[in-house]
Amino acid sequence: MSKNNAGQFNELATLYEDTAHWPFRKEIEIPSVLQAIGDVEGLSVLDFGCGTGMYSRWLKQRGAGRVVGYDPTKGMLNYARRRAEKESPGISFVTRLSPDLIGQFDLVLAVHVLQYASSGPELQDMCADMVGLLRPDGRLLTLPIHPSYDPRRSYYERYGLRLSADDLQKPYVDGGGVRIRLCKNGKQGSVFAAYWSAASLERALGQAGLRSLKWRELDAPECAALGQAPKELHAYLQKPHSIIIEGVRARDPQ
Amino acid sequence: MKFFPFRSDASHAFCSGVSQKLSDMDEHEWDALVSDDNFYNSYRWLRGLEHSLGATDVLSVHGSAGLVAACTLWEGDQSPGMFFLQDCMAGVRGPWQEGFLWLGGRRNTHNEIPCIQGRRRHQALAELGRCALEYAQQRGYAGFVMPYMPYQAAVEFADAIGGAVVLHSAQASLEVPDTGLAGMMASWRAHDRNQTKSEIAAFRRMGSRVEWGVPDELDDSVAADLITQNRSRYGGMQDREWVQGILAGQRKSGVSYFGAAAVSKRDEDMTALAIFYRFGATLHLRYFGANYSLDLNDYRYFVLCYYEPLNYAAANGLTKLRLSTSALRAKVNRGAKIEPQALVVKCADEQQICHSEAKRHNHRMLREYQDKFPGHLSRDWELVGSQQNPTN
Repeated sequence: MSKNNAGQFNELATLYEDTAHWPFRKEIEIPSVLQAIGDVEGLSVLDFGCGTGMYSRWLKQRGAGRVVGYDPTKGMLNYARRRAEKESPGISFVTRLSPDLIGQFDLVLAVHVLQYASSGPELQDMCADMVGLLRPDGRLLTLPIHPSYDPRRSYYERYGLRLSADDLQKPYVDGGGVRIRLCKNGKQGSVFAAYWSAASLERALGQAGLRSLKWRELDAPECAALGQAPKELHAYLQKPHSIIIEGVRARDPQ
Repeated sequence: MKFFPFRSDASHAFCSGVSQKLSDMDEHEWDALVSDDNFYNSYRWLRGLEHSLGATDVLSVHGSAGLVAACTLWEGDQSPGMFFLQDCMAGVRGPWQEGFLWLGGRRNTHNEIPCIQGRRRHQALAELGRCALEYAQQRGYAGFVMPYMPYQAAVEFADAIGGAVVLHSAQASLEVPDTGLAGMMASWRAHDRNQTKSEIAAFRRMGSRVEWGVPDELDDSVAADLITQNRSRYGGMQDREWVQGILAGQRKSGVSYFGAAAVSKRDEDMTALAIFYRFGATLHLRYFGANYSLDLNDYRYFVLCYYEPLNYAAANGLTKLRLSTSALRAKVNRGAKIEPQALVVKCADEQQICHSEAKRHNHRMLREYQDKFPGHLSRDWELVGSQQNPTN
């Protein structure tokens, strides 16, 4: 992630942490991610773009062994450190990926990260960084902007989220700008992101050495059927703004 | 949960305000602004003071996404000592006998403004300074000060608010080697190594041992008694009840969760204790207490405050030991570096402080420390030297 892209998060730590309580994350994204991750007992985990460290804390609390949170934004990491030392001690948070982390992890989690690659080469570098941290057969789970997200800026507003494509006529162009805004209880913040198509994401992850790619739609795991999810979440579930991509680091990267 | 309509992009300005107590603020939001070294401005430390000594006003600056800068307020001490403005400003002319507003936690010996990182940090500090001056003027103070700031943090704050930087103290700290005391001793001259070995040997010869625990397990009245004995010996005015109240406040605020207590014992008698706090990668020494009715020449102060914590820090992944502002010679002799500490002052009447005089004062203090502690000064002193050049 470029310095400019990282810097835009410096003031957003508390607002970002708050989003964990917003229904679209609390009822849909977070349980979907934790379900996809499964048992982490004893696993070494790197939370790539950890932000406030919420997933790092939860994974540590669920029994993960070594947990490292990486985020280049100092404002986010301050929040992560301060909160983790009270609630989940033993997580190390870093602002850069040092060579000794390469190939060390069973699981790399990268939630809402790939959209902050602002160019094709940057996307490729980011994927290479993520996959390079994995041991052979280690798993990557990442959540980019959904390639089929709804580009109408009002669509997600009821969830406290607004995604607006720079070019409403051509919202699905690789590298196209997307402004993401968060708004709750009078607090708001916005960041600039980029759209990446399914083909570009698969290509970048594949070139980085990830195999057995799977796409998982977000759902509401607590509900037996999507129709049983709370009514106010139906619109989100029909067009979630994010999606899980999962894959395994090949033993012999091509 | 309530979702408000999105506002326009123009709403990015800061707004500032005053709260009457810290509990009006969210703990995690506050602590997100607190760096590893700034433990004494962390939420739980300040809440501990509030429980013990009563609430004070809090200045806060908010951006559209939440808190961007904040600090607690107090009035300093009204009698000579470490928190008496005329003593802090000795050697610099100014209206220091008048009332000034003090920024930071009460009786803090390390202060930085809790503030966001990034491109709007300077603006956030400036807004906090503007708000502090307005608060001070409305209440008849001659201005405001923030004491005991690391020099770089002081320069940054003064630059943002148009204040002056006045060196007034210094703080000792140790970089903790991975191998703890052994690693530290390996970097020393033979004389210093031998001295440490003989002090530790004397401690053991007297039948003393060290036990580590958490402050919550200590009997506050016993701990307060030992701490008060030490403070009285060096001119401290607070009595045992005062110290006990402080420890009770810490227990209530939860800051003792970060605590670690090194206790020296002979048989089952507690002969001394040192209380530390872990925060980020740093171990902060805050209290030492001893039973001086036992005439032991067993170096328990050095064992508890320097030697043992180096091993404790290394074993717990901590990389820095902060040793506060007193007894600098003894600390330097045991491997500590000395860091400059400055007070930032902003007078309501700009004419009342002469910036060039403050710089001359800082230069004198730099020379004094260079003469007293050659080879033991941190790199921040180079910055002090570079700031003395009138062209800077």
